[in-house]
Amino acid sequence: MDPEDRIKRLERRVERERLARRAAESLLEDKSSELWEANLRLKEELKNRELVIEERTQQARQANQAKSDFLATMSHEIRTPLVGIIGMTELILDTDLDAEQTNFADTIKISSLALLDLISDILDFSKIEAGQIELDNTPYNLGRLIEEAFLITGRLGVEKGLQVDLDIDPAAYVDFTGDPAKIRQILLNLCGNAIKFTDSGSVAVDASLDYQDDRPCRVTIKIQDTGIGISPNSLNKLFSAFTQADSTMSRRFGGSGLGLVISKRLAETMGGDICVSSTEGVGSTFTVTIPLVQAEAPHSTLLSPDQSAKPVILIQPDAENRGLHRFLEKCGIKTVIPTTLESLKRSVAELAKGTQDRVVVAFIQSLPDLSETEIVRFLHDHATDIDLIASDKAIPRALQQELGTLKPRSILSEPVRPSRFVELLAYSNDPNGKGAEGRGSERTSHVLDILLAEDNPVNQQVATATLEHYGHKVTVADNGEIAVSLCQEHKFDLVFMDMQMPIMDGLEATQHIRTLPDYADGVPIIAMTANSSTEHRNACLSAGMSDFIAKPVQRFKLEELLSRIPTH
Amino acid sequence: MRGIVFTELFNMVSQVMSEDMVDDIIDDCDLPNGGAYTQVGSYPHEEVLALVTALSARSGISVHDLSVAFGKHLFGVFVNSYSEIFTDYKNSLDFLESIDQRIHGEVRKLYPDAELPHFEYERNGSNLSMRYISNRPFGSLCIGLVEGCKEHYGNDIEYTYQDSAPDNGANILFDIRPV
Repeated sequence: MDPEDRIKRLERRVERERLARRAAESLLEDKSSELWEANLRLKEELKNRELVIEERTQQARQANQAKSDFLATMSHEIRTPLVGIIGMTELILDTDLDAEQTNFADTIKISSLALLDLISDILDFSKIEAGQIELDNTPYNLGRLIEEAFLITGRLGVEKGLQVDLDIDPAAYVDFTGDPAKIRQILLNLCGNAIKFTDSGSVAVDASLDYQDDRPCRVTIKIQDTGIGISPNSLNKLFSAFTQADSTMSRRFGGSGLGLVISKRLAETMGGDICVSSTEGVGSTFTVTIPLVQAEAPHSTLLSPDQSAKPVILIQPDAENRGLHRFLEKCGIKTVIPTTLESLKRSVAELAKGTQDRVVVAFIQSLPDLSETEIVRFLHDHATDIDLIASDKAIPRALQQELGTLKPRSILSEPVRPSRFVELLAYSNDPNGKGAEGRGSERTSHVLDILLAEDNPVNQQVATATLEHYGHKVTVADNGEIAVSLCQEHKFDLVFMDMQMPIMDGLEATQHIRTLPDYADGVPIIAMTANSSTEHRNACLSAGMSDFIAKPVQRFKLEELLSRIPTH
Repeated sequence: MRGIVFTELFNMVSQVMSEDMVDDIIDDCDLPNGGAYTQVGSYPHEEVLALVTALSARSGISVHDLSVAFGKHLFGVFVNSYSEIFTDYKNSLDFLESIDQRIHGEVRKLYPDAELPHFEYERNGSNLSMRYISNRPFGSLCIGLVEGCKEHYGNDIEYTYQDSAPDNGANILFDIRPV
C-alpha cells in the first residue's frame, strides 16, 4: 500500500472513530433526557401517592378522633344520670328500711358503682388515647395517700378473710407535689386487683423511698398477693388494651380490662412505671415506681410519740413480720409481742410494775394459740392496768360488752392505718390527755347556711338531701342569676356552684358574687362539676372560686370539706 | 443488533488478524455509517452478516467457522463485563437454562427494544435439550456462545446439535449432557 493510500486509510479510521464517538454521545444525551423525564414522572407519581396516603391518614385520624370523642361524650352523658342513681340510693339507705329493702338498695348501689367504675375507665382510656392526660401539680401527703388507697381496698380483703398488710416507710408522711389523684387511681386499681384475684392467703403492700442527695426522689410500691397468678403467655399482653389476661376473666371477675393499661400509662406519664412478676397458681407482684418532687416546705405530718415511753403490747399473729410492727420499730416505738396467755400475762405484769401509767395493749387480731374470748376475758380481768386499742375485727361488737368496765380508747377499723395507730399512742403519752377524746368525733357538728346553685333537678335533690342529712340548711338556686340575687340579700356560709347553668353560668355568677361586699373574701364558693381538667380548675379559681369538688361528689370528701368551713 | 456485536467483531479481527483487515472489510461492504459503530448503539443485523461474509471472502475461512469463533470470543467478553452473573451459576447447564428468563430478562430491562432470540428447554434426567429459535440466521454464533460457555465452566458438558435452519432464521436443537 503506497503511503498516500495509507494516509487516506488512517484518515478514514480517525473519521470513523470520530463519528462513532458522536453517535455514542448523542445516544448518551437521549438516554440522559429519557432518564430525566422518567425521574420527573416518578417524582410526580410519588407526590400523588403521598397525597393519597396523607388524605387517607387524615381520614383515619378523624374517624378515630370522632370515635374517641363519641366515647368520651357518651361516658360523660351516662355518668351524669348514674351519679343521680347513686346519690338517691345512698339517701334511700339512710331512711328506715327493712332488711329486704336494704338488701335491694345495697344491690342498686353496688351495681351502680360498678357501672360508674366501668364508665370512668372508658372515659380515662379515651382521654389517654386522645393524648389528653393532664398532670396536676398539687401538694399531697404520700404516706396518707398510700394508706387511704390501701384502706379502701384492704377492707374488702379483710372481709374476704385475707391477711392484709401495709409496710410503709414513716418518712413517706411528708408533703410532695404532683398528681395525687392519679397515684391514688393506680394504687386503687392494683390493690383492688390483688384483693379481687386472691381467694386465700395474703395481700401485702410495701412502700419504700429512694433518696438522692438526702431527699426522697422516688417511691417504690410493691403489691404482692397469693392469688391465682398469671400465665407467662398472658403476662405479655397484660398491659395491652382490650385484652384481659384471658377471656374467661371478664366473665369470672368482671371489669373492663382497661384498669392495668390505664394505670401503666398514668405511671409512665408521671415518669414512673409498673412492672409485674407472677407465677400461675402462686401469686403476683406488681411494682409501681413514681418519681417524687418534695414540696417547698415539707414537714412530717406524723405525730412522734415519746420514744422513751413504755413498750406497746402488740397482739397480732406473726406480728414480727407484719407491717404495723415494722412501722412502729421505724418510728422508734418499742413493742412486746406475746404468743400465749402466759406471755401476755407476764408482759402486762412486768410493764405495770412500779408505775401509775396503764399498759398500752393493742389487740389487732387473736392468736393461733389464744382465742379472742380468752384475750377479752384477760383484758376484762386486768381492766385497771390496761389502756386498750383494738381493731374491729379483733373485738367484734358482740364481744365488746364482755370487756365490762374496760372501755377501749379506740376501736380501729382493720386494716389498721399505721399513722392513726401512732397518733393514738402519741395522745396516750400526752400528759394533758386531750388527744384521743378530741379526735374521737370526726364528723362536723356545726350547722352551715348553704347556697346550692345547680340546674339539674336530680342533682339538686341529691345534694340538698345529702347536705341536710348532715344537719345543714340548704337554699337552692336554679341558675347563676338567681344565685347572685340570693347572695345580695343574704350572707351564706358557703356556696356550691355548678359550672354549667342556663341564663348565667357558674363562672360569671361567681365573678358577680365576689363583687358583693359580704362576699369579697372569706365566704367559700365551691365549684361542683364533672369536668376535672386542670384547665377547667384554673378557670374556676381565677373566677374567684375557692375550691373545687368533682362530681360525683363522694361523701367523705364532702364531709371533709364541710368540716373546714367556719360559720359566721 | 446491539452495537457490541460490531465493536467486538472488529476487536477480534484486529487482535487475531490485523487492523487493516478491519479497514478492508469495512471498505468491502460500503456501509451507511462508514463502519462508525458504537457499543451502545443498535444497527441492522444485515450489516454484521455482510461484514462476516466479507471477512470470509478475504480470509478463506467459512462463515460458519468465523461465526463460531466469534461466538466464543463474545462469551469471553460477557464473562469479563458481567462476571457477577456468571458466578451465580455453578455449571454450564444451570447457566444455559437461565438464559431465556434471567439473562434476557435483564437485557430487556436495559434495552426495551432489543430483539432477542428464544430458547426452549427440556430436562431428561441429568441431560438438557435446548432449542434455539431466532428470526435471524445466527445459529453458528449461538453454537460459538455455547462453546464459550462450556470452556468457561471447565468443559463440564458434551453436546450434539441438529441444525434445521430455515432460510431466514435459525432453529437448532442442542442435546447436552454433563460429564
